[in-house]
Parts: sequence; C-alpha cells; structure tokens
Amino acid sequence: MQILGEEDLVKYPFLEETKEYIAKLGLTLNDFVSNEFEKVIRRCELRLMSSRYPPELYTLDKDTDLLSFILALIIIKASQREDVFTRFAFNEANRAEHFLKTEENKRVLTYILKRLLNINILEVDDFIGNSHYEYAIHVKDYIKLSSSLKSIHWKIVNKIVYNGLVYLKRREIIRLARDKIYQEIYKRIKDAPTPVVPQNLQYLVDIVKNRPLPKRLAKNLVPTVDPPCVTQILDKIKAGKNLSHYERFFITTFLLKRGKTIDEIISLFSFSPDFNEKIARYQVEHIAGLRGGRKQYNVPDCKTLFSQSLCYKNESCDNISHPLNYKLKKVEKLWREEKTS
Amino acid sequence: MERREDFLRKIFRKYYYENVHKIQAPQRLSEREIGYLTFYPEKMIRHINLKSEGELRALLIHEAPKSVYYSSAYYDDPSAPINARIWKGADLVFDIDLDHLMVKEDYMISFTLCNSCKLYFPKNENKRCPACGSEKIKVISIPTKKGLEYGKEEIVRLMDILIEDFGISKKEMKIYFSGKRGYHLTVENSLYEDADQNFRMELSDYLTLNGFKISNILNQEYTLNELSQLFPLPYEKGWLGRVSKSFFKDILNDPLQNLNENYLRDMLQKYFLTITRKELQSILEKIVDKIKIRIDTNVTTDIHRIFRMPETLHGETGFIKKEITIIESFYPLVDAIAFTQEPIKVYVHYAPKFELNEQVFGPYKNQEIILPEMTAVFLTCMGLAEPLDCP
Repeated sequence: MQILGEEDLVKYPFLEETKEYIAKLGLTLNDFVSNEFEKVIRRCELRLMSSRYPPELYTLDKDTDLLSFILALIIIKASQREDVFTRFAFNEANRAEHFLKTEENKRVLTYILKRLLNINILEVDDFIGNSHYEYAIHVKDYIKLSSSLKSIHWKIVNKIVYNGLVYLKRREIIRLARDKIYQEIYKRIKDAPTPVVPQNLQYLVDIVKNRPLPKRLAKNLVPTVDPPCVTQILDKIKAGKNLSHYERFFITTFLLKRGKTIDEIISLFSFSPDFNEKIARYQVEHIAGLRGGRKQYNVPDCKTLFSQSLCYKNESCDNISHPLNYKLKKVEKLWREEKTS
Repeated sequence: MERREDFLRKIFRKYYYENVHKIQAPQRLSEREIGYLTFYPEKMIRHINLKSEGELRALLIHEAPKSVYYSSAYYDDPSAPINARIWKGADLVFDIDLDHLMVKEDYMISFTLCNSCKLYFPKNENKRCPACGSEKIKVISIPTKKGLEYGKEEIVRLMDILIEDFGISKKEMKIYFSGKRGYHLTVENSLYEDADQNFRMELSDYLTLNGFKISNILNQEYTLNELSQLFPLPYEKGWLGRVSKSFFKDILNDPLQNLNENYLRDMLQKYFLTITRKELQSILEKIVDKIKIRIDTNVTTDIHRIFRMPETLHGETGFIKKEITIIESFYPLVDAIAFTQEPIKVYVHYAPKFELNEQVFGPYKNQEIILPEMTAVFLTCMGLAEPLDCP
C-alpha cells in the first residue's frame, strides 16, 4: 500500500524509501560533474551554506531535492568537519519538523512517525483539561526517545502514564521525532566511509571546510566559575559537614575532570569530620580509574544529579545538560554581553 | 570466635538445618550473583555462582551465614569480576523502609548507643553522649507494629501504581518483609527486565513525584474560574487523577460517590471562589508531598545491587525475609519470626519496651534474664544482649 507520495520523500529525504529511489537511478559521484546536474549542485550549495534555511526553499523537483540531500551528506563527510555534521543534521531535522507540524493528513503523519521512530505508536483521542492527547507510546520507548531532552517537562512524572503507555500531544511526539531525525542523519554521516570527491566538486568540500568555526574561547578568558551543584558541595565541605556517598562521588569526578590532582582532592576532603585519609585515597583513586575495575568514572549529568536530589539549578545554568558545560555557557554569555555593550 | 557470633552462628545453622526444605532458590539462580556475610570474622564473600537449589541449601547449612544475598541482575557469568560480565537485565526492585517514610514517633522505638563508653540512652537532640560527651553515637531503631502496618499501606499504593500506570501484572510482582524495617517489592520476568539505569531513574522520579510540576494542574495562563473547568478529575489517568482524588477527598471532603462531571466542576468552581491562586498552589504542593511513594530511590536505580535472599535470616534481627502472599493478614512481628519459645539465658545491656509475637518485653537494663529463644536471638542480633547459655 502506497501511503507516501512523491512530495513526502522531498519533505523527508532521510527515509529509507529515498535510498531505494536513489539506488534505482544508479548514479555515481562522478556523474554529478555533468552539466545536467547543475540544479542539484546549486541546491546542494544552499543546503551546505545556510546555517538555517527557510523550509519553503525546498522544492524544485523531486530528483533535484533528493539528490542534493544525498550529495550534501557526501560532501560534508568529505570535509571531515564534525561540527558541520551536527549543524547539518540539526538543520535538516528542523526542516522536517516544520513539515510534520503542518502535515494535514493524520494517516501520513502517523505512518511517518512510525517509520521514523521505529516503534509501535497508538493513535488515541483523549482530552484531559484542555490538552488533546493524540498518540500513546510505550513508556520504555518514550524514555529512550526523550533521554536527550533536558527540560523536566519531558520527565515521565510530568506526562500522563497509563497501562505502560505515555500519552502525548501531537507537537510532543513530533518533537521526539525531530530528535530522532537529528540522530539518524548525524549517525549516517559519521558512519559513512570518507568518500573521494572528484576534482570538479572539490570546491563544495572547500565551502564546508571554510565555514567559520564555532565560537571557541581562548583559555585565558575563562574565569573559574562552578555550577551551583558544585558550589553547594564545596560550601558544605568548607563548613565542615559530611558528604553523602553520591556527593563525594560527584565532586571527585568533577574535580578530576577539571584537572585537579588526587592529592588536591584528598586535601579538600580533609575538612570533613569523618575524614579518613586511607579510605578517601582509595575512593578517589578508584574513581580516577587507578584501582579496582580500572574504570575511570564519568561526571554524572544534570538529569542524574536531579534524580539524586543534588541539582540546585538556577537561571545561571541556562539549560545546560551537564555540569561540565556550565563554565562554557557562562563564559559565552559574558563574552556576548561584552561584545554588545 | 567471639561468644556472641558463635551463639548466633550455631542457632542460625540449626534454623537452616531444620527448615532447609522450605528454602526455594530465586528463579534463574544460576544467572545471578550470590554473596554472603560470615559471622566471624565478619567478611563479605561475593561473586558466587550457584547452579542449583541443592547447592544453595548446602551453602546455607554448611556456612550458616549472617546474611545471604542475591543480585537482582542476571549475568552471563555471575562469578566473573563485575566489569568482565555481561549484564543481561535485572528485576525491578523497590524498597519501602520505615527510615524513608514520614517517621512518626510511634512507628519506631529509637534510642542511642555511645560507641565510646558503651552507654545506652534515649535519643536526644544534641547528638552527643550525655556521659562522656563523645560524638561517636549510633541510633538504633526497632520498628513497631504500627510502623510496619503503615509500611504495608505504602506497598499497596506502590502496587496500585505499578499495575495501573505501568501495566505490570500482579503475577509478576512479589512482596517481602525485608527482615528488618521494611518491605521489598520485586518485579520479575516483565517487559521491564532489560530497562537501563536511565529508565529506572525516571521510574523512581515518577513514583516519588520528583520534578512534578504543579503547573501541570495550575496553569498560569488561566484564571481560577477557568481552571475549575480544566482541573483534572478523580477518574483521570495517572498522577493527575490521584492528585484530584486527594483534592476532593481531603480538601473538599467529598466521598467521591458521585462522579458526574458537572457535579464535580460545580464543587471546584465554588471552592475556587474562596481561595487565592497562591493558596491553591500550596494546597497542591502539600497533596503532592502526601501522595508520593516513599521508596528508597538508590535501591531502584542501582542495576547491580544485591539483596537479601528470600526465606533467609536477617543477621541484624534474626527475622526471616518472608514472602507475603496476603498482605492484609501478614504481620511481620509474628509471621517473620524464625525462632522458638525455648528459654535462653542472656545478659541484656539495654532494651526498651517492645513487642514480638504478640508478647511484650522490656524494658531491660544491665540485667541477666531468661527469655524465649526468639527474643534472645533478636536482642543478640541487634547487639543489645550477650548469650549466657550456648545451645
């Protein structure tokens, strides 16, 4: 049964159907050099250069649009610029989100969502308060799909959960789909072998290579700022209070990542009333991966800290999802403010 | 071996010897890690792999351990070091402990032991020994019948949510008295067995309402009058329905016999005229705090944890970790008692008045006394008494 029309492939060029369609054309990279593909090349340039292009700017004809998408994937891979992998995937996902939001045919929307998310999706029709719930997915699928979304809005505690299903509004499931599209496109570029691009197309790779780098800040500009979750624990240590097991674990992983030495961390812990150097040293060395399982532990992310009741989020956190990103965000902000003032 | 440990080990062995036929291995025993704690020296032995119920029973009689544990997780090779084994999944486990419940005075009898001068004294605020001033003090708590009954209510509420919201069937759940101060609920063979730590964290936040936004109900965009038409109703799904139920029952004093929407909305509308938004916010916050499930979240989120094995003895109380079939008629301080009424002479350092098997004991202080075996074992396990007779 044919549910998707030609225009759907143009809107959602990352679907499997596109791959089949392109494969049937039997083209190789060298074919793009010919003049007959000029429109494809122009379209591809647009895809490569714009950091955010208006979604309406999409349709010349099916072949042009689909081929330009595939060509853009190849060119970006050839550029080996990881930041562009991310940027491109993000833009394409936003573009698709726009189409999903305006999709009038619910049958098509449901079909695409199922294909994209690759899970079982139930159509429901429930009103609670003034919210309309149109879809339900299994809570396990939901948690996997929403794991990269930071806001507590996405926690299941703020969702309707019933009989193993999470009930979702249309725009919510579309938002989950956008994330999945982003990941799929990123993975597709990342996992692809690096192609050999013909000389005539090399300039496209150069366009990508010459895109300005994202803001990276000189190290000496960085003031020492700690996120509130870290300040909270450091204050506790300075006040001579005992830390819980998890607080100790978190602060150790954090300080190690910030380049503190094991001895520096131990001397910090020596403020605690229950300090025992032998035990403290063992624990810190264990976390640093020098003992036991020889596994160096990662710094827990904001979600985990929240679940451990160790998140003291305030405005300064600015939607970060990991305490290590705090400094960067904060500095970027200061930098922007400085620039505008 | 110390006298106390020797006494307990012998009596634990006697129990295992006489009751070994009652001990059933947890399902899929060979995929779980087994561990046990010895009496003297007190040492934890881990990474054991047992192939059969027979091997488990032999271990219990032979070692007579202080405590026996099994992993909630299933591994390809449970005896390998933790990083070298493949995690295949884990039961969902929930722990309701009186320590985490809204502790009321009569839920537990608590008193304090000074580790420096070995003085027992009532719990006080200044966290110091009244005799020697030492800060090395330890609070000891004995659960009361009332506290344990309250814990049962919490377990029942937890079960309801797991069934209604997560679609877990009663058949997949097992409830146990933990052998000390609470209850364990495990979910085996369910769809959730392969759930990772992130899922379990979300699940425990869901149950404890950690991160619940009151604005889910009290949307800033609407006036209170408008909200009376949008407020969730008691029959709605998930937490929204539960918050609403509590609101009608506890705040509006409605018995919820009439679930007609117009009737309910009228009530809301009238009530909302009498309060401010801020007051409503604070009422809802209190409801959320009241109805959340007080599980120990560290237990649920840990995918490598080991738990006391069902039907074995708790080394700190001598009670059995007992499976509960009918929760209404299960009384831990009667049904989880392993030992007999046979008289045993002990020296009791300190014990408050407490209840065991519907008999009242204590208070005792620095005295020799003949007690039933069950009581003598309990006090000895708690570190409050020394045996004078040896079995």
